[in-house]
Amino acid sequence: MIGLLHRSYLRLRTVSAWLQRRFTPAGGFVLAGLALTAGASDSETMGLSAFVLLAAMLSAAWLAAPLFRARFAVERQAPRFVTAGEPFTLRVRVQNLSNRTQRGLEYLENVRDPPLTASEFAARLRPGRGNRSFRLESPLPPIRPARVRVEAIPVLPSRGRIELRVEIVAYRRGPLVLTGGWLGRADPFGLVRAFSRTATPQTVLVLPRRYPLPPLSLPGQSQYQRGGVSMAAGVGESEEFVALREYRRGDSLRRVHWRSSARRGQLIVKECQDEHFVRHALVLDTFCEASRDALFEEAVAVAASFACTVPDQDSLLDLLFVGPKTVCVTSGRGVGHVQQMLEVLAAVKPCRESRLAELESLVLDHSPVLSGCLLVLLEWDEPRRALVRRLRALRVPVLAMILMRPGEVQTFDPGAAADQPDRLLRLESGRVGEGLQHLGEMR
Amino acid sequence: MTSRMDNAAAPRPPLLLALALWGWETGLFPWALALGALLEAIRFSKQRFELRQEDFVRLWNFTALLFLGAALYLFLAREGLGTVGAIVTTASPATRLEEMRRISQTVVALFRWLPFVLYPFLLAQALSRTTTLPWATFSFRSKTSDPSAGPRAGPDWAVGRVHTGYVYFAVVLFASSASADHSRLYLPMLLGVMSWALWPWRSPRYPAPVWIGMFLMLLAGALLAQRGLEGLRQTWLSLETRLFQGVGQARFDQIRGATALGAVGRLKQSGRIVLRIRTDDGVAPGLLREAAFNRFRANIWGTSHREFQSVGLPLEGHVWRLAAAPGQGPLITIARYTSRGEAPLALPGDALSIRDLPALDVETNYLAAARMQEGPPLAIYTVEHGAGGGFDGPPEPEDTDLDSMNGPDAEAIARTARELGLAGRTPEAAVAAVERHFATAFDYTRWQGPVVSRTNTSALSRFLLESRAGHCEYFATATALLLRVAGVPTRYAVGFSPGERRGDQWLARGRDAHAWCLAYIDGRWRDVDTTPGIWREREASGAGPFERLGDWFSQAWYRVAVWRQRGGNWRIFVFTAGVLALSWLAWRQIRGSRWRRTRERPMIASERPPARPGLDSEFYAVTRHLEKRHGPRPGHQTLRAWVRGLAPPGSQAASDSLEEAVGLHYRLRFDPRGLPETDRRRLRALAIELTDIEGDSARRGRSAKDAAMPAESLR
Repeated sequence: MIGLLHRSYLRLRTVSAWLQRRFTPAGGFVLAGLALTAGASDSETMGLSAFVLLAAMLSAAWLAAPLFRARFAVERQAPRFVTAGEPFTLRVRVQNLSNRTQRGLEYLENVRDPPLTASEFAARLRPGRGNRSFRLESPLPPIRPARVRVEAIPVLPSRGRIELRVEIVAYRRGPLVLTGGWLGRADPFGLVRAFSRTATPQTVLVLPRRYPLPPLSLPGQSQYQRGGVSMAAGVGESEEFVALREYRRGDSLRRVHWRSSARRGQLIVKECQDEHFVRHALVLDTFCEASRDALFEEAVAVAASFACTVPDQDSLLDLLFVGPKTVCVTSGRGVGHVQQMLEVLAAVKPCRESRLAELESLVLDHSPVLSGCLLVLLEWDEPRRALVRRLRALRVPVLAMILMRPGEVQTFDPGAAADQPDRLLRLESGRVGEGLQHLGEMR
Repeated sequence: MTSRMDNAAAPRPPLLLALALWGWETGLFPWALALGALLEAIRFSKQRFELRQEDFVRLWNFTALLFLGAALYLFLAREGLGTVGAIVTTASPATRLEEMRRISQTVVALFRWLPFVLYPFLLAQALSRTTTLPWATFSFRSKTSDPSAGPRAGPDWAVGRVHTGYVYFAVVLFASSASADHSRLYLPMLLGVMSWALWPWRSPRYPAPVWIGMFLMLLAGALLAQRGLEGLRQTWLSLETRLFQGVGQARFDQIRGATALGAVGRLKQSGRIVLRIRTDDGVAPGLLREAAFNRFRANIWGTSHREFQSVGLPLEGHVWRLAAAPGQGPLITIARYTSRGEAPLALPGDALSIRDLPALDVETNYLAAARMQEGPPLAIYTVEHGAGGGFDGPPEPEDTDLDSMNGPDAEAIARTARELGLAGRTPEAAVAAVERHFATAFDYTRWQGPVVSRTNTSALSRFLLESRAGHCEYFATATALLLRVAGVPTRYAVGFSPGERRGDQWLARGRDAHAWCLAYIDGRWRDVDTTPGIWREREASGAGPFERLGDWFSQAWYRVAVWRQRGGNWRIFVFTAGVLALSWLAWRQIRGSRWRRTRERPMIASERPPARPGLDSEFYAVTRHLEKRHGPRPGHQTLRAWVRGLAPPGSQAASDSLEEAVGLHYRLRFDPRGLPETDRRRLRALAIELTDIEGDSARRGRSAKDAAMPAESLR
C-alpha cells in the first residue's frame, strides 16, 4: 500500500513539475478550466461546449509550439556556497548561435529533484507522537529542493550574447544540482512552452540557515590545552614557545636550542609555556523520529549560527554529534575554518535510532579540555537530562537549547533543579531567531 | 502556476465582460452588470483600504461559510437527502444514474451562484492595495502562522501567490457554462471574453495578426465542433438510457411485462437487504410475490396482461382492499425503499388487503402483481392475508399454452413429460410426480452466468436432459411447462422467499429472490415450489466477507429513513442545525479566536505596530495654525526647536503648554510603547486650547494689522 502511494506520489511530482514547466501561468488557467469543465460538464448545460473550446485552444497551442530548433550556447556561473532559504543569483550568459533574432524567450534553470526513497516516504507518512495526522509536507522539512524564477530573455539578436541573473531559492541544505538551462518559447496564445535544452550539471552546496546571535558571553573559563593551539585538534604534543634562556639543571636536553648555544658558547634552552584558552563544545542532538525532522532542521540552523559566531571570539569550538559514526570538528584560532564546519553541518542527517550513549561518551571524553558546553537538543527526556547531570558533575558549565514545537513551550517541564543546566533556553519552532535573542539577556 | 503572476506585472482580467456573459446566460444580466460596474468603478477610484493578511484570512473564512450556507440551502431545497438516500438504497444502476444526475444538477446550480458567493471577497481585495495573495490565505491548515515569517519563506516571488482576479474570472466563466440555455452565441462570446483576457499574455514572438488569425480559426473550429457536439450528446443520451435500463434491479417490474431466465439469478448475486418483514406470529412469511408471467418463449417469460388498474380509493387508515373476501387473517409488515415513490408491492399469494400505505394509488393487474404510485421514500405497509385472499385472474388459454415454445424446449418438455407419464394424470398426481422428479434427480447450483448455447439445445433443455442442475428459475419454468402438459393451468411467479431472521425481523436479501410456479388446482391458484430446499444454504455460502458491515450500514440508514419519515419536519431540523453551525463558525471568526486554543499564536503581522504611528496626532492641527501664522517650519529644524523659537520668553503659560504638547506628540509618534489614553486626552485638550489661542490671536492680529508679534499670538 505504501509502495503504491509512494509510486503515485513520485508520479504526481513528476507530472506536476512537467506541467509547471510546460505551461505558462495563462496556460495553467486554461488547463484548470479544462479540468473543471471536464469534471463538471453536464449534458444539459453549456459546460461541454466550454470544454470543447478550451480543449481546442490548448490543442492549437500545443500544435503551434512544436520542437524548438534554434541553437544557443549557455554558460552558467553558480556560487559555490549558498544558504538555505535565502535567494541566490545564477549568472547565465546566453548566446544566440542562429542567424535569426530571437524574441519572447524565457530561461528556466532545471534543478535535480533528489529522490525520495520509499522508506523516507513511509517515515513521513507515519504519524509520530507529535503529529497525529498524515502529512507529507508541513510541519516536516520541505521535499522540494529549490524554487527557480522563470526569467524572461530580452530580444536576442542574431549571434548576439546576453547575460541574465536567474534567482533561485534553495530550501534544503546539502548539495543542490543545477542540471542545466532550458530556453522556452511560448506558442502564439502564450499558453504552452517549447524548449531547447542545454545540460551542464553544476553543484552548489547549500549551507544551513543561520540566525543572527546577540553578543555572547559563554560560560566557563580557559582550560589547559595539551598540545597548544596548532595541535588543538588533538594531534601530537607541543607547547607554546615563549623565550630562550640559559640552561638550568634539570632542563631536558631536548629543549636545548643548539644554534643559539653555539653562538653564545653556553647551553641555551627554549622556554615554553602551557596553553590555556577557551574551548567550547557545540553538541548537536541528531536523534529524532521522522515527524520531528523540522525541529532537527532548526537545530542544525542553531548549531550553524553558533559555528559562525563562536570561533570569532578568540576561542575554539568543537562540533560534536553522532551520525553514522561519531564526529568531532574543531574550528577557531586558526584551526580549521568556519566554512568547513558549515559544510559538515550541511550534510548532517538525523539519526533514527537513539545512540545517546555514544554521544555522551564523546562529550565526556572531551570534557577535560572544555570551558563550557552548548547543547542543542531535540527533546528533554531522561537520557538527555542524565548527560547534563554528568557534565555538571564534572563542573562543565552547560547551556542547553531545547527545540520545541509551537504549543509545547507552555507545557514544558524543566524537571528537578539538579537536572537543569546552568542556562536553559527554550526555542519554539518558527520563532527560533526570536528565542536566540534571549541569549543576550542571559549573563 | 499562479505564483508566477507577480503583483505588479499581472494584467487585469476583463471581469465586467465575464460577469456580463454570466448574467446573460443565467438570466441575471442586471445583477451581473451592477457587480461588474462596481468592480470597474473601483479601478478608477483612488480610495483604498489597508487590509492585512489576517483580514484576508478572515474574509476568506466568511466566504467559505457563505459557500457552505449556499450549498446547504441548495441541498435541502432540492431534496438532497432523499437523493442521497436513493443512491444508497437502490440496487438499480438506472435509478442510481438518475439520482446522480440530480445531484450533479444541484452542484451545477451551486456553480451558477458562485460569482455571488465569491464577490464580497473580490470586492474587498479590489478595495485593498494588493492584487495577489499568498496561497496560505486559502489554506485552512497554515492559517496559524504568518506565511512570510515561516521557516520556508523566501522572496515574494518564491512564496506561492494567487491572482484572485484571474481566479474569479475563471469561476465566473465556469459559472456561465453551467447554464442550461443552449444559445448559439455562447461559444463566440466565451471565446471573445477569453481572447480579451489572453491578449496581454500572448507571446511577443508573433505579430498580432497571427494571434488574431489563430483565434478566428479557433472560433470557426469551435462553431463546427458545437454542431457535432449536439449530435454526440443525443447519441450518448440514447446509449446511456439503453445501457442502464433496468439492469440488475432489486425488484421485478411487470411494467416491462417480461423477464428472461437469468434475471433472478443475477439478482441472487447480491447480499443487499431488499425487504424487512415482521409477522405478527413470528413465523416465516413464506413466498412474497412481486410479479407473475404466463407466456414462455425463447427463454423469456412474458405476460398477456400488462395493464394495471387502480384498486380504488383507500379506506380510513390508508387501507387498500385487494380481495373481495371479508375474511380476517394474520398480518405481515413489510418495509422497502421506493424509487421516487414507485415500487412493486411484494405480497403473499393470499393477500386480502394492504394497510398503512400512504400512497396516491395502488394498482394491480390480472396476474396479481401490485404496485404503488406516489408513495413515501420508505414504504412500510402491513398486509393482511388468509383464506379467500388473492386477486389473481382466473385461468385463460395462455396459462396452458405450450405451442409458443421453441424446438429444443418443446422437445425437452415433451420427453420429460413422457418419462413422468404426466399426460392424463390428475392435477394433484401430476404435481406430486413433478415434485418427486425434481427432488430426487436434480441438484441445485448457484447461477453460473449466461451460457453460450449450442445448436439444437437451449438452457431449459440442457437443464432437463443434460446437467440436471440449475437455480430456481429453471425449476419453476420446467414445473410450469410440465404441469401444462398434464393440462394444469400454470403461471411463473417471481418474488422473494425470506429465510433469515434477525431479532423480530425477517430479512429478504437479493439472494433470497426466488421463482416458483403457480398452479390452478381445485379452483384456486397454488404455489408449487419444486426448487430443492438446499438452495437457501447454497446461496448463503456466497455471502461476501463484508456483508455484516454492509448490513450495519443498511440498518443505520434504515433507522435514519424511519426517523426522517416519522419525524415530520426533519428538513427544518437539518436546516436549523446547519444555520446554527454556520453561525457559530461566523461568530468565532468575528471573535477572532482560533480552533485550537493551545496553539493560539498572534500573527506576527498583527503584532507589528502600524508603519508610522501617531500620524493622527492632534498636534498637527496646532502646527498648521502656527505655520499659517509664522510660515513653514525650516527643514533643518526639529519640531521642538522650531516651536521654542516661536515662543518668546514672556509667554510662559502658552509656551509651557506648547512644550508639553510637543513632548506628548513625540511620545505618541516615537515611543514604542505608545501613549496611554490619559496622556492622549491631555494632548487632545492641549491641542484644542492652543488652536483656540492661536485662532483668537490670529483674528486679533488681523484686526490690529499686527501679524509680526508671535509673542502676543501665543499669549
